[in-house]
Amino acid sequence: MYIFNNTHFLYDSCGGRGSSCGSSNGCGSSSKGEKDITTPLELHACMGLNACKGHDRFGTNACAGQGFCATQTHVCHTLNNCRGQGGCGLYGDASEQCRPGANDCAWQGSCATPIQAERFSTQGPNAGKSTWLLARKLFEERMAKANRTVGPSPFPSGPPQKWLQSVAANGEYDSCGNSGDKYCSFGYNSPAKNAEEMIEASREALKDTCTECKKVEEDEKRESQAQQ
Amino acid sequence: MNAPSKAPLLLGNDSVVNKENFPQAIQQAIEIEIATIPVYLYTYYSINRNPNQDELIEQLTADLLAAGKTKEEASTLAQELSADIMVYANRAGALIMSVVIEEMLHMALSSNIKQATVGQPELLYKTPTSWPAYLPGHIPEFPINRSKLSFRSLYTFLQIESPDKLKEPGTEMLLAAKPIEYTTIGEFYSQIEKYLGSADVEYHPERPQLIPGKGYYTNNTIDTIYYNREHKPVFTNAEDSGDLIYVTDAESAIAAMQEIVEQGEGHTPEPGSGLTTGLNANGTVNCAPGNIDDTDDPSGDEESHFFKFNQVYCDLHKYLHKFAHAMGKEVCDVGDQDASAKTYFDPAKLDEINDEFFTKYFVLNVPENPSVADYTSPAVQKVATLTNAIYTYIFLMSEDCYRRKGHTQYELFMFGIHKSMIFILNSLCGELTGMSYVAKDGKTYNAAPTFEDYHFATSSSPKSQLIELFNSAVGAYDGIAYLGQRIHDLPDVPLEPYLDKEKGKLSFAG
Repeated sequence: MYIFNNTHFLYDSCGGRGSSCGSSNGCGSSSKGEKDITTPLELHACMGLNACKGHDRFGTNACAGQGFCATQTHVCHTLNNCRGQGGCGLYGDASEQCRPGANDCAWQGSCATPIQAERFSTQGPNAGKSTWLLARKLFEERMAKANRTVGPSPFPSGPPQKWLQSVAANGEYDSCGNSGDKYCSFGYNSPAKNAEEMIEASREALKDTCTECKKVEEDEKRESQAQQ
Repeated sequence: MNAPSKAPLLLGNDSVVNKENFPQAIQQAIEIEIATIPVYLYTYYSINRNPNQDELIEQLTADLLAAGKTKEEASTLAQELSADIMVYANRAGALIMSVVIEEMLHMALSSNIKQATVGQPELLYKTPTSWPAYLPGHIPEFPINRSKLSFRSLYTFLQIESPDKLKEPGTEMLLAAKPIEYTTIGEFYSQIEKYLGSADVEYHPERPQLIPGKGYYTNNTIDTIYYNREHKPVFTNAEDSGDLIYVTDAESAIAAMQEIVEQGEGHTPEPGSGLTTGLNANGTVNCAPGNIDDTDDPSGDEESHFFKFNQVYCDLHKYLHKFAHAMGKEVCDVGDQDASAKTYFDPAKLDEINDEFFTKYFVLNVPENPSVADYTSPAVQKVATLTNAIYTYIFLMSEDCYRRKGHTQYELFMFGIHKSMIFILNSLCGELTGMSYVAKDGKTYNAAPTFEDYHFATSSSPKSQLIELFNSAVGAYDGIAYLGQRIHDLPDVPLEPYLDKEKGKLSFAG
């Protein structure tokens, strides 16, 4: 499976006091002359989550679900302006983290976009599992309801962090939090293998995760109705 | 700590919570929780959770060569020791942050109890005003400082969260020679708990509270995880470690109080289990493996605050020995009274050598108990003042949440409190610790957030004052320019509810 096939992604040291949140949509400006959309028709959270042709960062994708990169930029929880822009994972409660890229309203939905392949959720049924895979699953469900054909994502597990860094205008990509780089090694592991294991385990558990997430949503509704 | 204006309940003549003193007691409980927050946060921000490993290896290699190791030995050891630092620094940070999150939960739980019983909780301007501070009503008193990560700071954390009664100050290193009067936070809360079950209490669930199911509380975030040696994420709070509780009656009020005690000190182990829950009888820290009942819930998944700090302390001791040994030195367990049981004491003496061998690699050189006035650099002073104002505004917004219901409360919490904590205050603290200043003693220190209450003037809205403070700070230090929009986006909360221009509505306009 094509997840991380660039060997130079295998080993990096970690650390450094960077900013606690990213500030790029991960794609910067195109260096190859593709269209760099400044006013996209649909704002979405990440690669493979676009609903229409021509709705990725460069405006060149042929089909729903095939776009490269987020079309909007926000750095973290509560800083997004619109529905469907929350990257999710990292901050937010179980219910919120069950809806990556599918928040209902501005300023909802957790965390930075785009969602790198290595990101895992920190709360709820998806805790410790891939955020992008869940976001893609929810996106596919939304498209199925709308009778839309969805093409494959350029990267089947979401954009790898190293790839995002390689296309970012300033060569940087990071996401929220103080706990450090999600893709790295202290010298005793391969970060690519760690990521691949996490992604594969998440893929295997995805059906159960979605079922559990629906329960969380129902519980939340019930709790909310019972109170005040 | 010494913030409460009234005499602390347990230092007064009252030892039982009753109808007359309950309003004071529950407010005192809220203030105990508030008082711990700046202490833990200060230490948290003294830690560089993610040092640059390449730089660490370089520095360690140089130190090891200077200590007489061969190039090959130094290279191998530097890799290993650098990984130790990467894991320990991040783990210490994650564990402290996991406690801070629960302290904020406890503030909300005790506020919910107060709101449902005697009314509006007071949260603004309750931060300790002088340092060292003291837990209100705690017998014996012990000094609490805002200080960097060290044996002393961690020992203080253990005293705060201790499930056992503490020895009188000055007798810590001795077995108790005489009986003394003392108590614990848990005992104080158990007094409140008893009263909550009495027929005297009337409950008002219709008053606004911070309730579960709205996303206000989450026990794990990316800041409460760390990565182990194989760089696999480890979560420090269990999924079911606790949540907000909607206080509607005696049962829910008691459940809220029990949650506070269990998360802080841990639950009482079964009689005869042989497990210890707190400090050793002689006041030393118990680092013996398997001798601690470390959970704060009966299901056994969640570690108590006390045990989390116990782990950070014992690991600090372990690494001090390891690093000193690697540099060709052996550290005597200064003050160690029982080496065979691996009990360690005299944090102050351990700290004398700690920095030389271990913490210098990842703990910032921040001052002890600073105030903004101590900062000689105008830029540092302005950024620190803005930081204090945001910190204070968070308590103002929290208090206001208890006056708002429904969507207005939700917006205030999510786009005011949440945003301020993670994306403004956290960023400012990170910026501050990256700044330095020359103190009056002539030495250079990293600046640090002082977590002092900023007293807003009544002549204009607190938010407009925040914007003025930001404009002044960004003029002196443009590294915080990216925070301008976030501050402008905050809700406009008045100092007093009667100053609210549009009753019940929030304004977000800058």
